[in-house]
Amino acid sequence: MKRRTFIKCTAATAALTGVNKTGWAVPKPNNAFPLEKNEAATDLLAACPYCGVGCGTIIKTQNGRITNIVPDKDHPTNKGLQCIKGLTSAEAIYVNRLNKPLIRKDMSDPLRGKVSKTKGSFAPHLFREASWEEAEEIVAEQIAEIVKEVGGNAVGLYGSGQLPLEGQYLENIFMKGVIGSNTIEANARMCMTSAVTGYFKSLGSDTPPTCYDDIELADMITFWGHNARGAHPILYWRVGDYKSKNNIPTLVVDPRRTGTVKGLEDINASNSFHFPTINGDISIHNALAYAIMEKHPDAVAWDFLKNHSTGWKKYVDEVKKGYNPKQVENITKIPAEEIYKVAKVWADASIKGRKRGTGGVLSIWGIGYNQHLHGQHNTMGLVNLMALTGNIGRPGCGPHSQTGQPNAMGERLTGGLTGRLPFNIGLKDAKHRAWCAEQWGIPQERLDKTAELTNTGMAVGMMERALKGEVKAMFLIYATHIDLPDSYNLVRPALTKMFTVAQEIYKDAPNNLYADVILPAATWGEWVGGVYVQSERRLFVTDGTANPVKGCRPDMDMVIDKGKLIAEKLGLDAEKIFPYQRKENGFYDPEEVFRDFIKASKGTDADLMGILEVEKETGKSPYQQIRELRGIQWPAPTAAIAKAGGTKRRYMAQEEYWPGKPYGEFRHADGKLHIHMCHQDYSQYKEITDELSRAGTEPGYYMIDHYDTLIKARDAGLTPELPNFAELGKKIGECPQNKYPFWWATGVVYEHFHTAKTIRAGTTKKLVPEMYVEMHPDDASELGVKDGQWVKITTRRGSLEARVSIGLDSVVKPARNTVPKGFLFSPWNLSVADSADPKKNKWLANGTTHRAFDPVSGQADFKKCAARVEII
Amino acid sequence: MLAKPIVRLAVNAITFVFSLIVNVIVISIFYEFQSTGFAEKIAKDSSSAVPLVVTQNTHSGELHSTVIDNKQSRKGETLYNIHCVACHQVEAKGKVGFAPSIRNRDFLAISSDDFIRQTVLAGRPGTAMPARPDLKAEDINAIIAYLRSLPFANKVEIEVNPNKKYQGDSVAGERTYITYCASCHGDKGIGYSAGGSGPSIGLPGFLNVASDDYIFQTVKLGRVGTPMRSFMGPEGIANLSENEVANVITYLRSLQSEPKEATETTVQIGDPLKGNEQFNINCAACHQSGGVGKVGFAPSIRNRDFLAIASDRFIKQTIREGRPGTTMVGRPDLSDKAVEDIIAYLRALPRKNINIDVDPQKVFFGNLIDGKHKFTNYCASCHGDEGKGYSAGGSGPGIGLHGFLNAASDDYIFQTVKRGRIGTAMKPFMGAEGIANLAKDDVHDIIVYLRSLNQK
Repeated sequence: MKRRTFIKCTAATAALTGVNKTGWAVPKPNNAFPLEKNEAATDLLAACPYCGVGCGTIIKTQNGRITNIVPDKDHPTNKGLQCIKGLTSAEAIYVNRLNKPLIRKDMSDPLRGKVSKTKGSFAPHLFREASWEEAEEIVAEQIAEIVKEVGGNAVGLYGSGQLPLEGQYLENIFMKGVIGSNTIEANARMCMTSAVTGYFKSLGSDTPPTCYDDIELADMITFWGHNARGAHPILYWRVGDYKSKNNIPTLVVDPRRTGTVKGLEDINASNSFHFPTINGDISIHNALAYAIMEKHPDAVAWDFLKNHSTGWKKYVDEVKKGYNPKQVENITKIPAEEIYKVAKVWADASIKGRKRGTGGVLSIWGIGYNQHLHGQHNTMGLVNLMALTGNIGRPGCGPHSQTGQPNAMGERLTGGLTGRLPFNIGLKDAKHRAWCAEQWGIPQERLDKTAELTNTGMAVGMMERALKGEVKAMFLIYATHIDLPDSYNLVRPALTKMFTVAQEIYKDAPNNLYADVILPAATWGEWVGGVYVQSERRLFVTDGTANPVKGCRPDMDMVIDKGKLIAEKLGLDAEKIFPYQRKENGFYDPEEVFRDFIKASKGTDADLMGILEVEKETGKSPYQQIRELRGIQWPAPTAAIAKAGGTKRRYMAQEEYWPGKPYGEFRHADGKLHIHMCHQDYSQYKEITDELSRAGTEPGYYMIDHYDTLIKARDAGLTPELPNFAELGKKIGECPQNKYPFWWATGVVYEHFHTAKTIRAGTTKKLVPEMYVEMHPDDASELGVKDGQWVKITTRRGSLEARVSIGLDSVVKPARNTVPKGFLFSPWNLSVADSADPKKNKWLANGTTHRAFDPVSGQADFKKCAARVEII
Repeated sequence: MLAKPIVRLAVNAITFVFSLIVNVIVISIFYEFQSTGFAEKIAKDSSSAVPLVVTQNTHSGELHSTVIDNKQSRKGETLYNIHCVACHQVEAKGKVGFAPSIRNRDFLAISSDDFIRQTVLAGRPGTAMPARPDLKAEDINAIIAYLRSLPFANKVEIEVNPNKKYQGDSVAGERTYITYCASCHGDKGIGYSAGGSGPSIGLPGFLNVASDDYIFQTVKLGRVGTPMRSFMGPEGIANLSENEVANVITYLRSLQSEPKEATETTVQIGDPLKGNEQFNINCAACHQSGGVGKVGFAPSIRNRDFLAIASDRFIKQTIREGRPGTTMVGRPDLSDKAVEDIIAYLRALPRKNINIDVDPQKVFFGNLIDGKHKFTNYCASCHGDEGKGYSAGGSGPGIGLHGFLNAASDDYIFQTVKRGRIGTAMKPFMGAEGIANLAKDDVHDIIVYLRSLNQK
């Protein structure tokens, strides 16, 4: 058939498909779930629901129902570009939704020592439907009783970097103020806290001092443990485009040859470097510092070190003593001449940037780099090197951590973590605590008491404390428990014991397996709205239709309601703490909360008061200002700064001066950048990892009781496990049962975001549908397995099944990366893409991982476990 | 009669812009190469007649040199800055959702000179990209030479086989199109008018000049520096198979043969709703959404006074003939129906209606020399010397150009000066409310001076 005749044949069919007349090719609205009301909404502005890049997204609607997504061409971050996850995010909204509160018939009752026998299943017959009033009352009763009987710290909360800032802010007030608990954690803990605590230690305050526009000013860009092409594609494309145009050198430090490595080499292989190190990052920082001091002394910013830093002398001495690139080859796994080559490029870029006043080296890292036993030191070690070469405090250079969650930065800013208060200040700070108590309407003594409580070990520790019986109840809010390590031995047994309340959207969400009460939540796009903070400190709106699936409520509304109810039961002034009323549309107004948040920011380093000044001046509401500017970057302490879109860059007087600015060149009290030498020393590797291997394998062994081991491991820059390399090369099935010869890492794949939505969106599910394990061809032939074959990956704690994917020609999608010999990689995003039901679920990545964590940042090490390949 | 002033204006404009641009080029070359560290690799020339040899790294890291006729490319830059820059922006880098980047490594690698030439000559009907059959072949060549002269650090070569055909399933192609393409290119590839970031790839203007392989290679390789990424292979937004892309191409081809609605119906009275669509496609790129205009770029045409003063005939003539010498090009290609719809749309825009009587027969007399003087004093700061308008960098449109002068009667100009245009930078110049309180005679002198420009 010729094309023309073919077209004639198909024209009639085409006319029948559901395409509207003008504008957008709108997929037919999914009418399976009735909505609260059927109002037509106009286009909505929102930050993308997925990663922390924070692309401007336009939500298209029809009859109040979200139909599709269009990238916002006027947003400065993505400029009309969006990755496949964001583009298809509407597909996952009206799918298998919960719409009634559910109560488990056989609930756990920790106060009376009763453990539910039905946990681990979300079969409908195990639950009964309830009204909101009944469900809320049960929760309030249980929680109030626990608080009265054993104290607030027995109630935990696992929150989310996907919740809008307003909800996060209120959850923190609810936990620290109302309940009186310091056991508040969030998935930000597994994502970014190594960067957070590293920034605090080095710079004195959280968050990157940089902005995305620094990409197009840099003379060299380095990615540390960051497959930007997969995890933050917009950033990767911006870097690639800039490299295409201006030919800047790039460095990727990553054990795998990822799409990032290959893509940059495709542009220009001669100035694209790749360090396939395994765990050697800190030694690489120090070896580069050594090589630069040795061969390119001009590149060392002595003036900067002397005037604006402390600790540099010790750093310089110890680097010179111990980090000759040749000498640390066994740790870095990088030949010394490669280090020297990159040192030269690094030095050139640093000098160029310093001379010009813009540019230099921009170092970007992602979540994988944070997920180390020594994650905080990874950040500090890198900042040390950046400081040594003067690559900080100037446009076009600096350390830039790239967040995973769309609003993990909000979680950090609102202080929704153990021991934190909003605005980058700790709970131990009495002055700020008094200020917060006043702003929150909480008696000061109450908050002072909370400050004395501890939650050792943070997210992992909270679960261990639950296993020990110290934590008796838990809220899971917009966060899944399967992002925590060691599901089978730690997290799931802990959730089984506790009274667990889940705010969820899907009927088959993993949290429902362990929830005693399930509250149906409204999700991104259908809620009323709120603010997300993206990685460059940009506050952006996430407007919604305010028209969720019938029966669902926004998470922020739930915290206000349960907060009021529980506050009353605890004898607190509920209306003073939560002075909010439902509006005509039946929901609370997040903008009211946002205004209170702004007021509380006064005088801090994240001061946003300028927004309220502008509102007074022009009548434009805070959200409206943010929409029109396509985001405001904190701090925005004055009207002029707010009007200019906030502060692009921080430190070294890059932020505009404002009266009452609480710091000098850096956020530390002395106004200086603090250099702390970070070391790696493998001399006690075996002993320490042997000790660590008891966690998750020996009942009654709790990591929080062995902090000294964690600190030892951290200070030596180790991994949680050390593979039995001697067993490498054996045929599948022949490796002894107690040996684990492979390095085992979990991470993300481009097509999916975490574990919930993209596996339910048709397009992304089709693009990468099944769990795979990336394997080196030599390992495959030694094992005797073929590309596409299903195998079992087993660690000391659990196993998963996956299809072997070898190289770029693999039949298993996405076939984008290659791994070094002896190294295996699987994406954790597909953990429950087969089924969340434990009876059928074979892909749970965190069933295998180790719970050892960085003793300061609390972040677990998902990257360097030990594993064995087995026959299914 | 008309040819002379055009030439004169063109020459004026060229000499004026040229002197500026030579400086800009030199500065930008220095800046560009300083910042990229490529200075040493460029054989810099000082006299404009010597060909410039650009040595660049190709993607494989080899050295690769191109000889560019420097004189021609500089002429091309001047012409570019007259004819193309308003939409395609400085250095042709484009503006997402408005005009595509054409200073783009991949676009230039994939597009033959013929492709670009045809696009300039035929335009993209149904979009804001007008046909420019008035441009001389050598001028178009110069513009192409200019585009090709822009430096890239990492050049690529893309082979396109214009005879290669891709055949697939149009229905499946539509599904794929909706999932992967429509969020930027809009329903049926209608492009920017749908509000997205991608140009119109479903309209005949594009499909007539783009071969199947041109589309295929674009989908496969994307366009660096733009939101158009690769859609094949592991690097892009999605990893589509060759079949899926062939399906999409087949689907796009099916759009090419669909009859256009606008040409079918022959209703006489304009339809404001259709006019809104037409306006968004044809006018909004410059005159902005709703016709509010943009100072220094395109005048507001939704303002009370303009609509009161401008007759349907005036608007129609302006659309048909454009304003030669400005970015307002004539649109003889639009159907009468479309023009009527646009006028109906403009008339239907909500505003306070006022009446201004204009007598198109009225002719004013005055003193040309005084008029020139007064024009310089009162008008030139916005409208530029000799009323050249935006190209002189001011905020006012080109009222000294013959396109405007041919369409506007003396009384039209008089009433405009007298009343101004509410909501724009054009304030009244008569009476107590105005910027100046000119007498009738003053305005008459100015009109006589403007008329003299038309006769030059």
